[in-house]
Amino acid sequence: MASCMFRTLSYGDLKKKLKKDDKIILYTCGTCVKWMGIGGPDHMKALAEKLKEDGYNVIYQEMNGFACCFELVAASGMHPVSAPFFQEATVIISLIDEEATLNVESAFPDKKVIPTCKNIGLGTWSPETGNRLSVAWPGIPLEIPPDGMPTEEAAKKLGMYTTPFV
Amino acid sequence: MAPFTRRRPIEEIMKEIRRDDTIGILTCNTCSRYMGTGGVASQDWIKSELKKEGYRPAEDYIFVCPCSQDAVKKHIHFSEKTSVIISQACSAGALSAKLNFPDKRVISANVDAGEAVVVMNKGRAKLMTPAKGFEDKVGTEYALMTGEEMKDTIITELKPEKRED
Repeated sequence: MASCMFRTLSYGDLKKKLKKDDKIILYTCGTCVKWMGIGGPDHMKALAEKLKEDGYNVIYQEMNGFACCFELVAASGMHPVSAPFFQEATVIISLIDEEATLNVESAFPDKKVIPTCKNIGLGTWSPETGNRLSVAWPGIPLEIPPDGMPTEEAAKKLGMYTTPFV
Repeated sequence: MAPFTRRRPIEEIMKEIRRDDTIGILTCNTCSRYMGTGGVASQDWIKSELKKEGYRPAEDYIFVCPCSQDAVKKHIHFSEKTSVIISQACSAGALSAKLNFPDKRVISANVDAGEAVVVMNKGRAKLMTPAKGFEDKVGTEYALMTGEEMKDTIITELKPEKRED
């Protein structure tokens, strides 16, 4: 994967951080956060549709292949297709991990960036048997056994989510 | 992303190998390669060190995502005679090898240092989320592909103080 992150906000929590006149970009990555089942293009599109149904102004959706690489994030603001949306936006909802969110914050310092995920540690990716944490970072109150810990179990202990917003 | 790893001292690794072991090596070609602990160069290095000391690295793989348990299951096929796997990856890659090859011992050649951001045009990675034991290295920059610790800081684009969770 190998970066493991969990979603920290519910859909209701997310809506509380938004205003109806915000011009919103959704930003996700096609690697770790997609493998974790939280982000990626399909889940981003579903969230965009839900927000639009609820009256929010989603103006653009950006999919980055490797959002922990700063230049690739900054390039979103320069590409002729996406650049106008990044100029117009007031809010970027970050469906990516904390490092990548930092890249978004740094590349677009005049935007309100809403983080939605917390980095928990590293882990294996397996649609067949389920993702498993191999290590938890300091400050994360989990004891990881030698054979790893299922991410669902870890998220439950931490009161976080391993599922997409919608 | 991206998992940031450091090499364990070769002497420590050798202490976990027996003379009669048949050794397989599984090397990450993505994150660990960027951080100087995987890829061809690291695999060549560890094979050379092992051979110098009389150990027998018998088979090896360089693989794009050893942290994917299913991909390892599908593409990596260590022979029955291989008794120990040296994992040149993060702990997720080592765990994946352990879960896929329960009849073999898995030795990590790397240790997790945390997670880093990558700035390609400066050739560096910057440690942002530390693993246990690396807390004092937050903000330290490392050369991509070699993992050499840099004494200066040139990645000024990233402004962690802006975050308001």
